[in-house]
Amino acid sequence: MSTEEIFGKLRECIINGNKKDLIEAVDAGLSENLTPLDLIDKITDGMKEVGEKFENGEAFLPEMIKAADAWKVAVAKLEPKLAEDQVAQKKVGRIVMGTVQGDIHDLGKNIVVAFLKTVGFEIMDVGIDASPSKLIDAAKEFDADIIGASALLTTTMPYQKALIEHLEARNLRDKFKVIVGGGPVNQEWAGEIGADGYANDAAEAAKLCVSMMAD
Amino acid sequence: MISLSEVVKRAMTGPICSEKEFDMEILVPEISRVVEKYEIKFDPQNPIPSDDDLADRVWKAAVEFYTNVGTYCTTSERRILFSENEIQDALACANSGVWLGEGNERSYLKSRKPESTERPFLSLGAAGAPVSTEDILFRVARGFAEIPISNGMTTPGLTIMDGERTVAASPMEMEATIRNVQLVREACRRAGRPGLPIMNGIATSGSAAATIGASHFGMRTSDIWELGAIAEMKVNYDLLSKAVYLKAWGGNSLGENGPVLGGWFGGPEGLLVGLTAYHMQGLMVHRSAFQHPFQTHFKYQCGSGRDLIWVFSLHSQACSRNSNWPVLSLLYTAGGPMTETYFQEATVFVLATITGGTVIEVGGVAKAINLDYLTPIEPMFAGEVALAISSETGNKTAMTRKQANEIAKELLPKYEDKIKGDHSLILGKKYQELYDMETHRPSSEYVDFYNEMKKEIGKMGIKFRYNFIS
Repeated sequence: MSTEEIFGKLRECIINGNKKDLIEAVDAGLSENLTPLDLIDKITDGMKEVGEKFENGEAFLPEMIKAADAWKVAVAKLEPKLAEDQVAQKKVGRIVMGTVQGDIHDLGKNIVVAFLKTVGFEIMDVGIDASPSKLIDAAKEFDADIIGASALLTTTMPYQKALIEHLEARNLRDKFKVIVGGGPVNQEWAGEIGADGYANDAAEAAKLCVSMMAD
Repeated sequence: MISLSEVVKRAMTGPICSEKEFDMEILVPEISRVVEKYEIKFDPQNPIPSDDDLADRVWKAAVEFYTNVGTYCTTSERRILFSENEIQDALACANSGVWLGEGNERSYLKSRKPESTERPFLSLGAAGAPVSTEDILFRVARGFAEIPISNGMTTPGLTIMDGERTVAASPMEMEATIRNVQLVREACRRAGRPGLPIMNGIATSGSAAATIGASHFGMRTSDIWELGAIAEMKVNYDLLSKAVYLKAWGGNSLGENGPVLGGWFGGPEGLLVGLTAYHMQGLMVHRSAFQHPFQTHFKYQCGSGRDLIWVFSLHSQACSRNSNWPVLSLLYTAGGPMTETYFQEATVFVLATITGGTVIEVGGVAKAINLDYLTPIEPMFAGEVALAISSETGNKTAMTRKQANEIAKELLPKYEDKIKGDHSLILGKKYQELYDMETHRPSSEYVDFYNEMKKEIGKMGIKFRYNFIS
């Protein structure tokens, strides 16, 4: 396979979420002496394309998750090679995501998680009904840069505020950026509770987190 | 029909799988398979199709999908599975309607058929949209109860109590739920309709404890409780506990499902089949009196886009042609009070569902996320459209799906871009800005706007019979 064919295959496999063929394409790339970083860059480009398709209504949550799972498998295979070559992979950042206490709605949060992966973030998803302590303990364990708290109900929004209060009480407010989102949440609420950022949808959340890491 | 205790038993003993396995390895591949097998394809040119064969294929796809996938219980991490025979038996035994309300307000929520001349049950209210104070809640609820064509009311959500935000899963939730029921009951009495059924006195998100506790402060067995599925095709022990309680108490519930376009079901075709499969889950697992769907778009948070109107229409047709168990469809609009967008969205939704054979709930104005963006005029208007195109047209024949499709095609381009744009531009105005706080009457500005919208939409072929506000 030529270099172009390998890159084309990587893109195609990510878009289709085809793990088996993706690993074959990665192996082919390595045997052609392409660098692990080149290969990671190409599959990350494929991930971004999946994100664009989602934004345009051409792909949906299952495609996003399949692509993210395939990306994870390929990167796991390439990471030891990076270490061997003593090359550091470009890490965008680490985020702990969860739906707040008292709330069991996770579809929007799942979409945001998938989107964040497409731009290269490492995510620890703590799931639904996550208390402030659960989110904070996970962030400490994962050495996160950002904590994302989702709330779909007006009555669970106060738990986003509680997260900020718990961080302050534990003298950890400066250690983590906090972003909030969810159906009834808006910029005004984010400002009121002292969150560092708010995003209206998954694509905005990805842009917001990238910009936070650049600060 | 298989018993509720057997359903609970299957939730505790069914095949074990992780939630991710259920989502990605069972539900997602199966929805794709049946969509392809039954050749279900979204047609943006015809948002309200008249294709009976397509509606029946959707139904077959949904039965096959539900037989193979079942319902996932997140508490036990097990699947609740039914054979096709059990599903068909349940459908054959299902009630074709339910009596709701008391006294003069007692009415029958009954299943309909496509293009039926039967008067549809009209649940008109807030669909849980949030309000800022108990005073606003009371005023709005009284206004809803005063809508003369309504058969039931959905209440607003009391999210601020004594100046403090109500917090879910806390003692405040219990107190807010009790106050909500008591205020709305009194609002109905003041409106002269004490028997009007409350359709959502206790919010879907309320815990089983809140459901049971608040039930003793004014809820009646002739009201309705909400039992909402977890996205997608999931329940938990809390929901099943509510079902057990309501069955023992003789209360009715609605089998609620709000799947998201772009979520686990994928695009409009998968969403349509999944939504239709929820018809069976609501009947067999939630043990509800009817299905209550309210699908929304993952990004725009409303159900009025062309793709979702197509889903509303075909879901209505698929269920009403193949099942006697009723469906009460609900729209969340992007447009708010006194916006052209709201009136256009509501009209298209009513055209799709009423000609498709379901009955409707109208509320959920301005995405139901902004405090006080709701008035009684919005649901009343939608109810008037429903009556105009069903039993009460001048010549006593109902509007056909074909006629409805032509009007929808004319209206959709007027608002499609707006619902995708800056929401603040179509948010409209708050109750306090549109209603006189002394007399409870709408402002002349809003009355003029409402009459103008009726005139404009009437020119498209909808013959309004009534004029409740002058």
